[in-house]
Amino acid sequence: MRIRRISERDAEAVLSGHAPAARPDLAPLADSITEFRAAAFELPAQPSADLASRLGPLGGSRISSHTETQPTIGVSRERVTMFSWIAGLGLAAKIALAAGVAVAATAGAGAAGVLPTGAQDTFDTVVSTVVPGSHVDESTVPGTDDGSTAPDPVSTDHPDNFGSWVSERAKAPDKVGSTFGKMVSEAAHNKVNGHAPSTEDRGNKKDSESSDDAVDGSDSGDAGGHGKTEGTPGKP
Amino acid sequence: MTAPGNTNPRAATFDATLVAAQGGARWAFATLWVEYAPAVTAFLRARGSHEPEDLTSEVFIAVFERVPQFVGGEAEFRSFLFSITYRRLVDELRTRSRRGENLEWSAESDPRSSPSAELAAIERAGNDSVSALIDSLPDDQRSVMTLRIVADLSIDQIAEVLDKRPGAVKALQRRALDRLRKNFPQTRTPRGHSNDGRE
Repeated sequence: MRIRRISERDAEAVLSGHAPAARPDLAPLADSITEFRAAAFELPAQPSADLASRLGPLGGSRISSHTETQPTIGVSRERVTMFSWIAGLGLAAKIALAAGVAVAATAGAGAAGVLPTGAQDTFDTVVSTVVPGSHVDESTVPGTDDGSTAPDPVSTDHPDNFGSWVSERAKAPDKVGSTFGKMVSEAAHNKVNGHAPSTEDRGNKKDSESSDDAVDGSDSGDAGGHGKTEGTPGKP
Repeated sequence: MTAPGNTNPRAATFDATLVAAQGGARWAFATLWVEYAPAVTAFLRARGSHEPEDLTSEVFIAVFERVPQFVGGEAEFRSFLFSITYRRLVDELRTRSRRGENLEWSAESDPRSSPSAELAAIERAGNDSVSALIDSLPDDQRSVMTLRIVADLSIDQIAEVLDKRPGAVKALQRRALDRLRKNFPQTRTPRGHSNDGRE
């Protein structure tokens, strides 16, 4: 039997996983290419600890602690699920998600009083407007640098102390990120409604953010050469 | 710098991300990672890298360091990204060929600890049908095929990555497809298209 040549158009169709209508003989090949593509994408990538520190909360929050303890062998189902979910989002949704995390992180930074002067003033104004009676003033929080004498948030939940509570909580190294932003938001909401931040919330927060510890302060800035030669990119 | 005058929403979104990445925004780095890392890892894995995840991280660290000087749109960014990826892969393959194979033992990869004969047979059948056939191609054909199938690059983009002429890439692709078709079992029933068990 004579084998027909694969034309350029046939090749394009086959490579996209479809056999051309006039070429049923190419169907098995097209199907196998689809399988090959699917198999190659089965295990999503996890960033190294160095890279995770550059990616920020979205890229590193659930990864670095795993990569430090399990360098190459095995990928947890949780990580696969998370990255599969993120990978399934459109580019715009990913940007919105990343920007949301950045906003939440900024909220934490604003509460901690570490934003540039102008931004900090704006943040304080917004907090004062949204949460009447609150004032982000680090001077009202005694001995929180080492966290050892930090007062219990519940005990400081006087209506005038919400700003102090946010400020004090934000200074803890594991409090920067989307979860803390959400926590502040919930606490502000509760405050307006006259409720105190619950200890249960605090407990959950602590558990859920424990994996952030490995990311904070680990921006070592390794150039990525890693002893290998580096070629020049096609379009630098 | 980005391509001017983009009216395509996706391209405009990419341009905004790229500008932010060029300014050092971590959310933009994270977005580029989430969008492109799966293809980079998949390509490295399909091309036989022993440490595709580590290599992917190295690629992105290099990309983030060079992205401030990058000029172009999304298509050019893909070429830029896979140029670095391909060079890193070549480095790894060269290093391996110089030093010889040095594989770390793991239970999953140890053939003596295969969980069951059935699973091993399924795995073998899958490899025979798809990956093994592509693995059997000569190196340059295999690179073209994986860059087309997994990295989703055009002929022109592949020519840039491999530093070849587009005509040469087209010829490699045609030869690879011919070879795959000849070696591929025509009677095989592809996965996922079976009607077995239907009521």
